Amino acid sequence: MAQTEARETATTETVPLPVEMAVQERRFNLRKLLVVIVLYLAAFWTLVPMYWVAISSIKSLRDLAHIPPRFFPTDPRLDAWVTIFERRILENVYNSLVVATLATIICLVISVPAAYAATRMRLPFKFVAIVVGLMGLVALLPPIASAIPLFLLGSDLGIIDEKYTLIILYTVLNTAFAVWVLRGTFMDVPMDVEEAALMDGDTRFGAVRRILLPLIFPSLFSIAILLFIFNWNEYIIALYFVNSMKTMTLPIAIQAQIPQHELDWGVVSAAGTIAVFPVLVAAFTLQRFLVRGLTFGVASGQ
Amino acid sequence: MTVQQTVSPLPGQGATSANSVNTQPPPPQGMWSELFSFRDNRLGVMLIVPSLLALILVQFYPIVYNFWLILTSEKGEWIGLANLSRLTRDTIFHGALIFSLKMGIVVVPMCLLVGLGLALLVHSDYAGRKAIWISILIIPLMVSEIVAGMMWKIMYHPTLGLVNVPLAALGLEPIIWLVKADTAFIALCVVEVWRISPLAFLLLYAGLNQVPRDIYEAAAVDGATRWRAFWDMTLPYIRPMFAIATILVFVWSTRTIGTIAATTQGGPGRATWNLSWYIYGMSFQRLKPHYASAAVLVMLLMTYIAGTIFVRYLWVERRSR
Repeated sequence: MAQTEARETATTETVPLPVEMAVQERRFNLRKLLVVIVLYLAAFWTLVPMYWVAISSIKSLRDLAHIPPRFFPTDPRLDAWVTIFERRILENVYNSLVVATLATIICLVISVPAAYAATRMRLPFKFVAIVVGLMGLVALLPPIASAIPLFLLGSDLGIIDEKYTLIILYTVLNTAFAVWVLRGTFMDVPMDVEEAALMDGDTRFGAVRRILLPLIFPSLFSIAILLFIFNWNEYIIALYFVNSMKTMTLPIAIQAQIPQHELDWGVVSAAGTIAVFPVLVAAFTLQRFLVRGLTFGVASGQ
Repeated sequence: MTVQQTVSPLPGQGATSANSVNTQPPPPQGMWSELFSFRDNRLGVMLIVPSLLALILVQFYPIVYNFWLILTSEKGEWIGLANLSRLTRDTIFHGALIFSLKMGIVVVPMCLLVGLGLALLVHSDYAGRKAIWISILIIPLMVSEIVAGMMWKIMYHPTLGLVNVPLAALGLEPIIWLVKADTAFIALCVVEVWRISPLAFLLLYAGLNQVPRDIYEAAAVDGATRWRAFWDMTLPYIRPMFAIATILVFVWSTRTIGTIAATTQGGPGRATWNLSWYIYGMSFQRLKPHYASAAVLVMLLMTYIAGTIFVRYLWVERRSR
């Protein structure tokens, strides 16, 4: 039954090359069916924890206590959501939004010029190579390695538990990565058009604003979303630098909500659902950019 | 619009404006180098400096400061290598190091296998609407560590969780995953594979995109089987990506801390302490940042060694074969 369906859809698709067809003709439909089944299983495996958390947040206490657990809530309630809002989760969301957004913007403001200079300007080659190479390497360093020195520095300066400290730290933590990725994006854009504009008497800034920026805008947007998600998720630095509700970002708030009492699971599920929502949006926005960026980034690096 | 307006070449105009500021005689290689001459050096350096400062502040300053921390006691007295030698006798640290390595040994091959399998499937002609598959499959990559841990803590929960449902259906006793050392290890490995395998998938999928299609046609004409084509053509092509994926997966799996914080908190006992958790516990909970810095050094060395090995043996193409 399912096989015939697969065969029908297969005929409507583009015909593969004759050579390939000769090789695969006999097993074509079965293969397609298998591939699709495995992909559905993979999607299930990927999404099921998120689904589980989302429905746990709207299950009634009776459903939560039901054994075996129910895949669909029979009696959806919003109690957990009311509780999580009473516990001022919106303040955490606000903190996360402010910190992540500002850190993303500032990070782009300092890394776009650097990437531009590294790709478009005549600089001592070694200088650029060393700076860019170091930035690539740095992306491998675990954030916890910087956390202790930064924390000690922060306590000496008395700037622990301030939002602006988090903003500064997130900005600089992502800068190396941002320059590295932006450099790849800039290298993808041919220089001819800019050159022509410069020869036309346009200023350098004008050429950047009118020609380069519109061309790289889609990539820039994607990088901004990526940085935002990094900041939105950041956990280790926040662990050291957040002490109170004033600065508490969402990941730390979620950790604080992980219950001691059995019946609080609905509440932490609601908090988790809030945290995951931007991620879902981002994944659909970013996939094309990520695949493209990785494909060309490595190709040009070779 | 703007592009069309500016394409008409008017040679000389831009060059003169650049020349007027230029203090040195222009190098003789033509228009492009004239435009981007000495003036650029200073402007360019100025544009890079903010990022460079950021790099120094958060990456190099901490590393240098780490060395100073290692060589001094918690009171700030110079104690030489005492912190490091203490670390070699610290059984908790040994446990954490072994746990991290064990996890790496399990998680890295699993992630690469899962990632490669999915990349091949999505890359194949049979997967329609690739964009949707990719979007779904990379979601875990963007979920916060702590949220991923929290989700799986619910999944593993003896009564609320989904993981025990199939076991119950088979008539087996429910397993309380996170309270025994060996099941907690397995459980954490599963979380890590869920969280990190999309990274391997994404990198390897990008790698597969670089393989030129026509070589498969040539191979098919020559009568090569699919398996042989994969082994002799696809794998060599994606080898650089494979190396990068290996390093990144290893680094990600050793640096994980949020999943442990959300699920086991290092328990039962100290069975699931990994390096990151050890560093966090020592520095923040036991307030021994100087001692913890010695462990940071070990972690950095581990990252460095892993990076070097993988780059040398996987990334570098060996033509002698």
